[in-house]
Amino acid sequence: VLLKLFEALEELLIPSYYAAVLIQRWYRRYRARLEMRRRYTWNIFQSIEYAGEQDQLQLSSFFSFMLDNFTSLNENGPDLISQLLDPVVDPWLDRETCYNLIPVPESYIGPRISFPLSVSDTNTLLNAFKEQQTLHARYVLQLLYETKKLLKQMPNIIHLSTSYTKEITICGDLHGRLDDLLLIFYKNGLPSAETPYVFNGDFVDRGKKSVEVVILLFAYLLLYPDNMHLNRGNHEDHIMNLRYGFTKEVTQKYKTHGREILQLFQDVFSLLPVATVIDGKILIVHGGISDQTDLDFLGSIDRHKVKSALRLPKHSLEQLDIGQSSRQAKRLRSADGSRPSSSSRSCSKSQRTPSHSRQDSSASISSSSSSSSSSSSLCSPRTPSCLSPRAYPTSPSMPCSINVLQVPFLDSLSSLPLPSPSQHEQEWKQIVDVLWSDPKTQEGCSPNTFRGGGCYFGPDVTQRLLLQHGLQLLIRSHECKQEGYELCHSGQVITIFSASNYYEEGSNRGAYIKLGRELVPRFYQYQVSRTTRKLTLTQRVRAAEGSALRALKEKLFAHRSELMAGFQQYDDNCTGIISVSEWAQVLESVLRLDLPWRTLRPQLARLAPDGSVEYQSCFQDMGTGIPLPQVTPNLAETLFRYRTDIEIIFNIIDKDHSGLISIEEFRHTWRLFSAHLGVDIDDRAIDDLARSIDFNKDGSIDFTEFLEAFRVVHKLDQGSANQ
Amino acid sequence: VEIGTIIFSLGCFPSQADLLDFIAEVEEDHSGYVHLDRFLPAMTKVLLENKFPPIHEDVLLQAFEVLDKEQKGYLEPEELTMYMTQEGEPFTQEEVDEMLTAHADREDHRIYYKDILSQMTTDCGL
Repeated sequence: VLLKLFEALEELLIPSYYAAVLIQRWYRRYRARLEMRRRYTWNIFQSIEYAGEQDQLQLSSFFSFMLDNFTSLNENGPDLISQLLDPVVDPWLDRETCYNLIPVPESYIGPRISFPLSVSDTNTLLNAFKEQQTLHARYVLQLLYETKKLLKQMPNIIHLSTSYTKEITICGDLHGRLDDLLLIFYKNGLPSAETPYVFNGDFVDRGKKSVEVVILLFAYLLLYPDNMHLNRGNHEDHIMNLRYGFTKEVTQKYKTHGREILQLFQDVFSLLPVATVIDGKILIVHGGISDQTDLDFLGSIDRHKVKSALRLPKHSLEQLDIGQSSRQAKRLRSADGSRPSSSSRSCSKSQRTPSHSRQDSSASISSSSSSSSSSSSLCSPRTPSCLSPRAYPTSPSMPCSINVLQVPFLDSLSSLPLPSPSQHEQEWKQIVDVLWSDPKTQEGCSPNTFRGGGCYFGPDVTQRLLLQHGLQLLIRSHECKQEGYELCHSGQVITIFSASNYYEEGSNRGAYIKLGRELVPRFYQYQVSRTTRKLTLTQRVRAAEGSALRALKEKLFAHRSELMAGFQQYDDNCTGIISVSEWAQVLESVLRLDLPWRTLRPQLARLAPDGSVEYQSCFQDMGTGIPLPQVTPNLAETLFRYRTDIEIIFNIIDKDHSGLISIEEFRHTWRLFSAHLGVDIDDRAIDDLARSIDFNKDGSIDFTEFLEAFRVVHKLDQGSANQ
Repeated sequence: VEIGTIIFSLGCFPSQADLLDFIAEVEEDHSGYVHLDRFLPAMTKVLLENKFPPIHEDVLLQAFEVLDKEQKGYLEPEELTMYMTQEGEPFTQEEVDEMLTAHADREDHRIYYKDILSQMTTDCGL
C-alpha cells in the first residue's frame, strides 16, 4: 500500500518538478539576457558622456590657445574668448550694494527673502521652488554676494567632527535634480544643527533645476555655516557650464541680469572648498586623488586662482604646442598605413619608436596605464582628422600648429619631459586631480584618458594616501552608479551619487551616506519616480536601451563619411557587405567609444543571411532637421559633429543672448573654428552658407534656427510621443 | 551570479547545480573571482560540446501545461509562486516578484503563459 501511494505521489510530483526546473532555467536565461542589455546600455551612456567631456576639453584648449597666442591679432575672435575665459570684473558688480539698484516689481509673485536669512526664508524658498517659481534676480545676486563673502573665509579643506553632532549626511552629485534634493530633505530632514550635511560637488548642469538646487544649497550654507558643507565638483566650473546646460539655464531664467549672475556664480564656484575631512579619518572629495595628491599642499593653495580646470596654465600650453607637432608627425605616419584597422594600433606603436623620444615617456605612461579592457585604444585624444587625413586636409592658410591643436589630457602635462612645472601648474594639478579623478582596480596612477582629465588611481595610490595622512576611508562622487553607491579598493573608497534616473528614467538609484561617531557608513537609497507604478526590469531596460541606441546612432551618423571610407576599404567588390569583425574594427577605430560592437550589431545594422553586416544600413532612418541644399556633405557632417561646440561659441559671441549674431561674426568664428578642427572648407562655401541662412536678409543670423538644421533626426521617431 | 549571467546570456541553459560545478571548476581558490584565462577554455568547451542545450519553446509550453493541471490556459499568481519557489531549483523572492510584475496580466493578475512565451522569445532577438 505504501509503495502504491509512493508511486502515485511520484507521478504527481516529479513532472511538476521537471516542469518547474525547465521554466526556471528558461526564465533565468531571459533575465541574464536583460542584464547584458542593461550593461551595454550603461556602457553606451557612459562612453558618450565621457566623450562629451573630452570634446569640451578640446574646445576650451582651443580657446586658451587662441587667447595666449593670438591676442595680438586685431580681430574680434580672441577678445570675445578672453571675455569668457578671463572675465574683466564689471566695476558695477564690485559694488557691494549693486543689487539694491534692481527693483523688485509689485507684480512679482515669486518668493521674497531678507538677509540675514532665517529659517522662514529657506522655507519660503523651498515652497516656492516646489511650486515651480523662480527667485528674482535681485535676491539671487544678493544671495551670491553673501555666499561669496562667507566662502572667502573658508579654508580649502574643511575639518568636521562627529563629536558635536549625532550624525553627518553625505550626498553626491545632484546635477540640477531638484526632485532628488527635495526627496533627500524629506527623508533625512532639512539641514540644521541636528542634521548636518556635506554635499560633494556637481550641484549644477544637466538637470533643468540647477539654479534652484544651488540656491537652496547656498541658502542653507548661509543659514547654518557650521552644519552645511559644500565641496566643489568638476561641474562647478564656468567652462563646463557652457556645454552642460547651467549657462543656458541661467540666461533663460534671467533674461535681464543673466550675465551678472553668471559672473558671480563663476566667482563663487572657484571659492568653494575642495575637500572635507571628518574626524581626521574620512576624506571627502568630488573626484578622487592621484599619486601627487598632497593634502598639506592642497590645503595651502589659493584655490580661487583655479577658475576652471579646463583653463590650462599658459606655460603648459607652450609646452603642449611642441608636443603637438610631434603628434602630427605621428599621425601622418599612421596614416601611411592607410588601413583604418591598423590605425589605433599604429598610433601607439609609432609613439614608441625611438625617433620620437620626446613623446616616448608620455606614451609609455599612458599605455602602461590603460586598463587591459578599456581605453587602451585611447592613446591619443579623439581626433577628427586622425584617421582620415584625406577627407580633411590641413588648411594651408593657417600655421601648422593650429591645425593640429588637440588637447592635452590635463595630465599629459606632468608626463612631458620638461623642466619642473611652475608653482602655478602644480597648484592647478592638485585641484584638477581632486575634482576629476576616478578609481581603477589596477595598481598605479595614470592619466584619465577616457574623460580626458584627472587621473585613474589604483588601490595602492589610495592605500598610500590614507596611510600618509592617518585616514581610514575616501568618499568620492563623480561617477554614476546603478545602486547610487559602490565600494572599491577593498572598501577603502566609496562612490556616492545622489541623482537618480541620471541617464534615463529608471537607469539608476540615488543614495546618501550617514556617518555616526563610530564612523561606519550607512547607505540610504531612493529613486524619484514620475509614475506611481514600479517599472519592471524589462520595461526599464527597454526604455534605457532605446534612448542609448538613439544617441549612439547619432554618433554614427555624425561620422558617416569616415565610417563609410573605413567600410569600403574592406569591401573590395562593392557588395555593401563586410564581415562582423571588420565592421566592429572600423567602428572602434573611428569612434573610440570602447563598446561591445559585436553584441550591439543586431541593434545598429541590418545583417545579411550569413551573419555579415550590410554596412549602409547603419545610417538608415536618420536625416537632417531642415534640408539645406547649399551645404556640401563635408560641411554638413562637420556641423553635425560639432553642433554642441558651435552652439557654445555662438553663445559666447551673442553677448546679449538675443539668439542673433551678425554674418560677419558668423564667418569669422567659423573660420577660426574650422582651422581648429583642421577642416578645410573654403571661404566661399561659408559665405554661401551664411547668406542662405540669413533668411530675412537683414545681415544677422538666428543661430538657434541654424543649428536646428543640424540636429540628427530619427525618421522613425518623428511625430511620436517622445519628440 | 555574474558567471551565471555570462553563461546564460551565451545561450546556455545550465541548471543551478551545473552552474555551481562549472564555477567550482574555474574559481581561483574560493576567492570569489574567476580568471579569464581559466574561464575561456572551460567556457569554450561547454559551448562546443553543447553541454547545456537550449530549451525548445514547445517543451516549455508543455512544462507550463503540466503545471496548469486543469488546462485553463493560465496560471494563478499563487500557483506560479508555489511552483517556482517550492519545486525544482527554487526562485528567490526577487525572481518571483519580477516574474509576476513583469508578466502577469494587468487586470486579473493571471499568467497567460502562451502569450508570454511568444512575447519573450521575440523580445530576446532570437
